[in-house]
Amino acid sequence: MKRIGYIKAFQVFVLFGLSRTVAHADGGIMRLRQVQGPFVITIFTTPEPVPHRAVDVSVLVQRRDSNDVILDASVDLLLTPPPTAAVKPTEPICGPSGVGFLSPESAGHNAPFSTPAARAQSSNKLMYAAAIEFGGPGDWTLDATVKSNGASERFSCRIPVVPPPRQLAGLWPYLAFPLFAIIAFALNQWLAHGLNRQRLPGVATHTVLASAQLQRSLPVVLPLLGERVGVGTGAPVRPQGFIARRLA
Amino acid sequence: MSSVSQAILSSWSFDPKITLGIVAVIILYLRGWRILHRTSPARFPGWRALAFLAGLGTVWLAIASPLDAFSGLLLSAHMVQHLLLMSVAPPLILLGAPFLPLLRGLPRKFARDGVGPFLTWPALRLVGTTLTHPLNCWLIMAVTLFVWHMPAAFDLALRSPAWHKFEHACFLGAWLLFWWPVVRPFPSRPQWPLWSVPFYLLAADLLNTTLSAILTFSDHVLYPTYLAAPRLFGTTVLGDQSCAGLIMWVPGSLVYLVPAALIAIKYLSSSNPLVRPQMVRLKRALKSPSLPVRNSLLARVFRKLNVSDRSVSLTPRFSGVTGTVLTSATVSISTVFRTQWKLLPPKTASATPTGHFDLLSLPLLGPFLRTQSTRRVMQGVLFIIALAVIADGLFGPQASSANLAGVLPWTYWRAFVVIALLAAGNFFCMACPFTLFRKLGRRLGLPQRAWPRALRSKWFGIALLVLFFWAYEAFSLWDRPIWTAWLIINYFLIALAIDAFFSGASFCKYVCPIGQFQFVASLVSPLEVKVRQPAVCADCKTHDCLRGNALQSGCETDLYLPRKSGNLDCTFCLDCVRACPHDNIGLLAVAPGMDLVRDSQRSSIGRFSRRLDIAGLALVFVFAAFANAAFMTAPVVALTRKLAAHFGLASSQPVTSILLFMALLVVPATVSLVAAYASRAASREPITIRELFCRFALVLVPLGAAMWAGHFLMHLFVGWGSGWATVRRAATSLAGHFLTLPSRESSTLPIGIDNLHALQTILLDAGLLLALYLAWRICVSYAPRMRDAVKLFAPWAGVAMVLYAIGVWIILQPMEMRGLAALILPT
Ligand code: SF4
Ligand code: SF4
Repeated sequence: MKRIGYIKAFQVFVLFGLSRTVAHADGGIMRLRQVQGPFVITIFTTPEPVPHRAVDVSVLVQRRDSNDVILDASVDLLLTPPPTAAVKPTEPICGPSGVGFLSPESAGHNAPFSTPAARAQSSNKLMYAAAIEFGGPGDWTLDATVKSNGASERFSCRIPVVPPPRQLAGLWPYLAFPLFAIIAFALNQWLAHGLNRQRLPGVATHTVLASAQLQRSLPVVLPLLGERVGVGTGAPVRPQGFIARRLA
Repeated sequence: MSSVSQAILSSWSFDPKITLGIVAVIILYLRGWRILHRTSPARFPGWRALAFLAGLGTVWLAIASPLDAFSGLLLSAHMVQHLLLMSVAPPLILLGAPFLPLLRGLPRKFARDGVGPFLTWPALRLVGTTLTHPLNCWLIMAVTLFVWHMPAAFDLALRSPAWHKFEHACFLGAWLLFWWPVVRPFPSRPQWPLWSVPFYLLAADLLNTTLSAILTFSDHVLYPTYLAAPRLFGTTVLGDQSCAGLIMWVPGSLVYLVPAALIAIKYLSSSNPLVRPQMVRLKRALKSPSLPVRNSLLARVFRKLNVSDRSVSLTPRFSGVTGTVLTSATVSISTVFRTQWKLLPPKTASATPTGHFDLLSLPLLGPFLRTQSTRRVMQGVLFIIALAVIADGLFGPQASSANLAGVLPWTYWRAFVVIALLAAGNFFCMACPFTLFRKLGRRLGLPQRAWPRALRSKWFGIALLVLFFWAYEAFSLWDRPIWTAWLIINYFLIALAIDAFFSGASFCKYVCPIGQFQFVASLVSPLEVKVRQPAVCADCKTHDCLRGNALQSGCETDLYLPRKSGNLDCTFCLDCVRACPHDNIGLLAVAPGMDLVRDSQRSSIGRFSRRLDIAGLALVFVFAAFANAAFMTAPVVALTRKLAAHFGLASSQPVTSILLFMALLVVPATVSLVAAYASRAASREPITIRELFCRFALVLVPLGAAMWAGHFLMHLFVGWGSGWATVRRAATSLAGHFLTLPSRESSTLPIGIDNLHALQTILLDAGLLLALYLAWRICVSYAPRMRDAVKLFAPWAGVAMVLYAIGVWIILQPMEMRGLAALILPT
């Protein structure tokens, strides 16, 4: 096929931005793609796993010969913490004694543990997924054992778990919201106050003025409110003083 | 269907935030559209609503369907997703003419006073004018398309879910702008003539064709992400890329070319000899700055079109910008436009009463709630539960997490009560088991007397409430099932004794600490027992709502409905509803907290500005919320222990008690008095300190309610899992093998600790903003001059903000399991 010059030029331009060769699925980043035995497996995780939060680990299992997705495999994940994984003791909380703050699952793990991955837990139902809570930061080792049709293979990769952001930082949108709301309200009051100051006695000038402004605005176009258009019998509200000057 | 296809079709992802957001917008739109459709069916026909719903449905489909799950693996799936967001959803949304319906869907007051001033703000109008100019719309679209198809940006979006969402938002936003000059949603004013639109679309198609040709014919993989991705369905990376290019090219071009052709045909054929000159005249008239010129031009237009000028009369029905826009104006404007474009005979708008939402008017729920037996059944059920709690507390295991007396009141009941108060109203008082035997007590035949005059205030209730908070902290009630059981027994006995000796609901109104808590919290509830039509009460001679009649007693807390304002002292018993012979009382929706802005003479309460006791109750409620939560945090517990050690005390209990009394009594009184003095000194308004204290103490209630709700939600989150197991154990031990409940896996509340913190912060945000708003409204009512109002406002705003900061600090603190600590420490 004949190539067109500008296509080449554009390709050169866009290829300029190529730097990373990572793949993502299920909102995640690819950690491993490996061909072994009769399988091709791809492992994805949440882009930045942090301790004590559910991290999505998804595994795609395909046939080596045809690349067909295998949907009836059994996938087990074994997670081994780095030797330095520091795990804070579980925080207790007010409430009836004997009720731990967080269950062992939600508190995260600091010892090797295994968990099955299931398609039901994945939003992409071609993959096997598990939600895992890591007990601490560091490079964790993930061993995925895939079994299907009598064949069993083990795949290994590292998952870097980064220290969690400070709690306050995680809440910043919610903490910033009142500030924005207060600024918006102050602005609202200032604008409303300005309009009120320009009100003329005895006439619905607030309405007339506002609608005059509305009419000239985009995206809103409205005939002047507070006045009669046409040749009706009712006396029209005539703009006066400031309004009349504005309209002129 | 093959299993792979099944797997693909079931790969839906559900983002609750986005889904809830879309649902909220739909509700808002439909609410506004319904009102506008009633007054102007030709301007807002049903198809507009359908188009809008389809547009939002397309957005949801693009981000929740399997397209999203596969967008990281297949460029073609990603392309379809983008096509939906760029070319299908935006025009459909704009065809719904969403501006006025969304505005009208907002609460009228908020639309008028909140949004109205912004709509008339010149700066914002300039932004609107600039943004919706066709040239800018086209350029924004082109830049967005180009930038997001750069591999670096595309890769970033695939790598980070947040950027991916931002990319989608960019597409949706940019293409909403792009389609604006094409669809021209009502009531926008076209900036370019109609003939230019086909060219505008063709230029966009040219850009689209260029990009799609590159994708289709390229022999390089443009997005390396897909190079590394596993291959699905036997596709190759280049094949997938070409397929994506074709999708972008063919359907992507059609969505530009078809409207371009339709508009061109419309333009060329719209030469109605009657309408066209009138339209030109009408446009000229609307642009004319001179009112007489405009009126005469419009009169000519209407004469030619054979339309009565009265049908376009634009008389404001009430003051305010948006209000007028939304009511009479929309009726009239729609008439103008109908006559302008469709030559339909104008319709007469019928004024529709804008009634508030009334829970008692709902088909099934309304009659159910009004029935006396409903209340009795609810009270009976809670009474049985209370009996079970007492029995388990007295005879069950004294480990609170395994005992009904540890779990039901302190984990579940408190949280649900506060949630009900903030989401609806005082429904616990409605179902309160302590008043179940009020009639029984009266049948004992003891002489009934009125509650002593000296105690007819909230001071006694405040003292009991403070005592209760102190007992809770000092004796770790949540961790002592047997104490909890005795507390409930005593509560029943005292309620019975007071109801037997005293008339009315003296126990509820003057004694019950739970009642006082509920009354204060219900000041910010969205439902209120209220008269439906004040005019009916004006003609009423019997006043059964207060006096009662042969069949039904009147209000036992002495609230006379026509003069009742707010929820204070209302137990939601609905006796007044049943007593009113005119069926004039409902459970109406009100703006939460707005009652606090008024200082009217209230039935049985008087003016808030004269009720020191009510202000005191509100302050205890607010400061107890923060103190109660703070005393559960590790740093505060450590501090109490340190202080106890410092003073050589064997237990931290005395320190806790002193700190608590200070937090509940000394600090609120001092802070509020200082704020009141500062307010008056700064503003120089002639208001007494007492009045300032009384009125502004109440505006802090939303913050207190938010803190209580956040704190109790935390308890609910932590204790959620222990509930079923405890109920199961208690059922077996109390009822033997007659009641064997199935076992269930225990779990925490399925919202996650991060979401819980976010939810708590959102509650505090809402509390702070409402408190500030109420304070501001009161200030404006005192000081019309902005500068004076700000001075009056500043000290109270400071108090609210400090409380908010303390609340956020508490949320972020590790919590201390003090139940266990109390067992270890000698007491
Ligand atoms: S009985 Fe009904 S109509 Fe009469 S005053 Fe009371 S609420 Fe109004
Ligand atoms: S106003 Fe009185 S009678 Fe009516 S619901 Fe409230 S407390 Fe009951």
